[in-house]
Formats: sequence, C-alpha cells, structure tokens
Amino acid sequence: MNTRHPRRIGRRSAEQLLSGHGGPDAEHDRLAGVLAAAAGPARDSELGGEHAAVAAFEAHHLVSATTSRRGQMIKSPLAKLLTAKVIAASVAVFATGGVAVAASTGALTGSASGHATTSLPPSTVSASASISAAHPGSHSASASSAPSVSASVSAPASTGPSSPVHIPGTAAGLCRALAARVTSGVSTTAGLEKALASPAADRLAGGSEFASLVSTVQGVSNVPDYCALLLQLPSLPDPSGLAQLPMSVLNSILVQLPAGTLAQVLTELPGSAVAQVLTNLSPSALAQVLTTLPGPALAEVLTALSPTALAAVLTSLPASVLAQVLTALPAAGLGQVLTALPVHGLVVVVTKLPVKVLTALLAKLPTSVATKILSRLPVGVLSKLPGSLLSRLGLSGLSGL
Amino acid sequence: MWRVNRRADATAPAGRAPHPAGPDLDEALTAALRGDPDAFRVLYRDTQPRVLRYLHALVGEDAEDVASETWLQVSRDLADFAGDGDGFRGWVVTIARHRAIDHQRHRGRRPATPVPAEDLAYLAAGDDTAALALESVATDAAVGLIASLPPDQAEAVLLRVVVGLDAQAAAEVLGKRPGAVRMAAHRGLRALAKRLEQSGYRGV
Repeated sequence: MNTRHPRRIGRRSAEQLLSGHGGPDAEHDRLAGVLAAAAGPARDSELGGEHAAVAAFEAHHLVSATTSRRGQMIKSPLAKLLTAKVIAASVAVFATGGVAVAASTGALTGSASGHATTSLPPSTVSASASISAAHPGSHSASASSAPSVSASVSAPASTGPSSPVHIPGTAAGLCRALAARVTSGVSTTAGLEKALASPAADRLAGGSEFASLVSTVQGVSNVPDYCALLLQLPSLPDPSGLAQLPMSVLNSILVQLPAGTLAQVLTELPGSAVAQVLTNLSPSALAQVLTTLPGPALAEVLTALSPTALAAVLTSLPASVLAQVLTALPAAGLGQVLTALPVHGLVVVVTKLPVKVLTALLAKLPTSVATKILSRLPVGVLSKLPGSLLSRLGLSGLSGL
Repeated sequence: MWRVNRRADATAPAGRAPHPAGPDLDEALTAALRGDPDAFRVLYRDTQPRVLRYLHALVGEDAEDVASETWLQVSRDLADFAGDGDGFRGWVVTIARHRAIDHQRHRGRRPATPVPAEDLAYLAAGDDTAALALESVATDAAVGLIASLPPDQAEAVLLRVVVGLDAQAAAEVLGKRPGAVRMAAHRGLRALAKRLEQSGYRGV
C-alpha cells in the first residue's frame, strides 16, 4: 500500500495535495496522510484560550454600545474574569505589569453597565508576578529594581462613575495605564508605541496619578520615552530626547532590555544622543549594553559616534570588555571603527588588547585596511607588536625599530 | 481592510481549499458581527487551531502566547471586518502573522524547530495512512515536520493545507505574488516527500 519510491511530485499533484484532493489512494499517499494529519480535527488543548477570547469579544462589543441588551449580562464576576483573562494574556506576551489593560477595561465596563468596582483578584496579581518571573525574555530583577510607586491610584471620573481602580505598584503598570488613557484597550506593541508617541501622552502624564513617574524621570516630557523603555517597546516616542532622562534611570533600565529591543532603541537614536547616553552611562552599564548588542547593531551604534565620543567610549572599557566588543563587530564595522578612532584612542585600544585578540581582529580585516590602521600608530607602539603580525601586514620593516 | 477575494485562481485545478469555510462559518460570522458571543465561539473553534498550528512554524513554543494576543485584537477589531468565512480566516491569520513578527522582533531570531527523529519515523513508517489523519499525536508530529521546512515553504504549506486558504488568499497574507507562494508550497511538498521517503524506507 505504501508507495516506497514516490515519483517526483509534479505541479499538478502538488496542487491536488495542497487542496486536499490527494487521498490515501493517490500516488503520494504517505505525504497526503501527513498533510491530512496536520489539518486534523481540533483538540481541546488547542482551545484553551476560548474563554478569554469570548470574554474579550463581549467586552468590546459591549463598550461599542450598539446594543444595550447585553449590558446587564456584564456583572462584576464577568468583569473580574475578563480582567483576569486579559491580564493573563497580556502578561504572557509582555511579561511586565500588564495591568493598565485591566484598569481601562474595568473603567469601560463600569461606564457601560452603570455599576463598577473592578478590583484585581489577589490570585491574579500573584499569577502575573510568577509568569513574569518565569518568562525567559524578562529579567526577574526588573520588578525590584524598577522604581516602585504607591500601590493604589484612583481612576479619573472621565471614563465612568468614579470608582477606585487598583493599579499595582510597578512603574510599568502605570505606563500601561497611561497608554490606556490615551487609547483605551491598547495592548499591542504597535498600539502602545502609538499611544505613547501621541501628544496626548505628554499631556496626560501631567495627571496626579502619574506623579511618581514624572518625579522619577524629572519631567513630564521624559515620561513617554521612559515608559517605552519600561514596556520594552522597540521604538521610542522621542529618540532624541532619550539623553534627557536621568542617567541613574538609564543605567538601570537599558541593561534590562532584551538584545533585540536594545539594538532597535539605540540604532534609532541620532548620533549625538547615542554619544551623550554612552559616554555618561556607568562603566558597568556601558559594558553590559555594549556586550549585549548584536554585532551589526553594535557596529551601527559605534559608527554613529563622533571620533571623540568613540575614543571616550572605547578607552573607558576594561580590556576584557573591549576585546569582547571589538570581536563581536562584523569585519566591515570593525574596520570603520578602528579607522575612525583618533590616534590617541587607537593607541589605548591597541595596547590594552591582548596580542592574540589584536592579531585575530586584524586578521578579519582586508590587509590594506589593517595596514592603514596600524601605520597610524606611533613607532614606539608599533615596535612593541610581534614581528609575525607586522610581517603579515607588510610592515616588517618597522619591527626592527 | 481585508480584501475579500474568494475566486480560486484560474490555473489551479478545479477544487477548493481542503477545508473551505462553509455556510455555517459565514452564518456564525454574520451573527458575531451582530454581537452574538456564541457565534464568536464558533469562529474561535474553527479558526484558532489553524492559527495555532500556523504560528508554530513562526514562533515555535510561543505560538499560544501570540495566538492569545491575536484573538484580543480580533475581538477588538471584528466590527471593522467585512467579508465571508474564508475571508475571516485570512484576516485572522494575517493579524497572527503580524503579531508573530512583532514577537520575533522582541525575541531575536525565529526559533529553529527540529523534528524529533521518532516523529519523523512514526509519520513515515505507519501502515494506515487514513488513520494517521485522526491521530492527535500525528497532528503535532505533522505540524512539527512542516514547521521544520525553510520558513517560506513552511508558511506556504501551512496556509494552504492547515489554514485552508487558496493560493490567492495565501499570497495576500504573505504579501507575495500567488505564483511565488505556489512555488514555495510545491518545493515544501517535495522536501517533505523526500524526508518521509528517506526516513521511512524499509526495503521492498
């Protein structure tokens, strides 16, 4: 029954298989069986999110307020369930507070049903905390190192009958609340980015409930960027304004970003802002940031710096970090960085690096580029380099000096 | 918004996608657009397993997380959707794809999805092909096998076979020309057949 030597699949049979017409008796029966298995019936394990999806549907339909007949169906228990489910879903995705969604949903439910107390069940709080900690992309330290804020904040009366909405004590939670104030129900990355970039975010951040955010970053206008970093959004609302954030905040927040997000944030900054941020970070934060960045992004960031800033950054690094950073650079970026480096910086870099690392780095470059870089070094420095390296680069005449 | 294009493309053999959305799904869609949660439940049960299996090829183990996010967006934006049941599947899977891309951006690279050797042997060696389709284990193994193809092939095959889109609709989801998507799907099938053959060959 099995076709042991299936013939090559022609266009026609391929199309039949793809449209589900290759039955068990067809020539490619095994393949047809695999495709049918892939399209097999739904399993219960695949429908675990049904409750949450339907609850979210009901909530959205309700707030669109086209029908009032469903109004009375949404009572507190459902609102709570919805809150819990939506949080569970968004926490799973974002691994941070995720509670502003709850805050906004609660407020909206309240306005539609006319009675509202939406409080977060304690079990949900602990659940979200544990999910967050277990999430591989997040740093478990973030909860404790993020500036903490007071645990309970009153919701404004504008979205419904004034009722207390509990916002948990993390700055990320407040940031979600801020985004939700700009655009209710916002939960996606793009949605959060858009909400925080809106001029309304600046204005609303001045509200008393966000005072702790404002004081952390020393100014209302810094809040959107700060929130974008806390929520690990790849695009900052105001990239050039990043350097305005207090360095103490940047020191602790940049090192918590996943590599991909960090790369996107830093490569989007104008060169002057990158320079300001990198040259002012604490040595340990700078080392961590540079060693976290993937090679191509690292090259982009370093080549965006002015020669002076580049020298300041590289010469401040301990030898081991410097070796790691330069080794991570792709060849083209490495050539650009070393070429752009002013002589004094180049001297420090060359003398700091272990000879082995330096040799390996130069070997990555085209000979002409390597030669050009080394020929900028003072003779005193060059003469200390091993003869083998110099002769490989056609600089052997210098080694005897 | 989602452009509804239900015409099977002219060069394909007569016939429709393996699981054409029937009148039931169209009806559920209409009712859901009026706000009926039970109808929305019907849509979810039809489409979620397809989306989840498709997402498996894009984000591996994070498929469930991305699917949850997808449904939050679907429930929020459904009022803006216009189209029939087939169009709905295409719309949802387009949202899922965008969420998956966002997710990858945050996480770095697409996870590699190697197929455990025993899964492959199991898929290749069974005797009763018809029964394979009804086994729950076989579904996971088969989705895993397809997901291990190069990304463009895996996506094309899953959109056609599992999500149930025709070549045109799959092309719209992927933002490519139908010819390119058909080619990727065909290559994917050949690669699958080859792996099955190599692993299942037991002599005659």
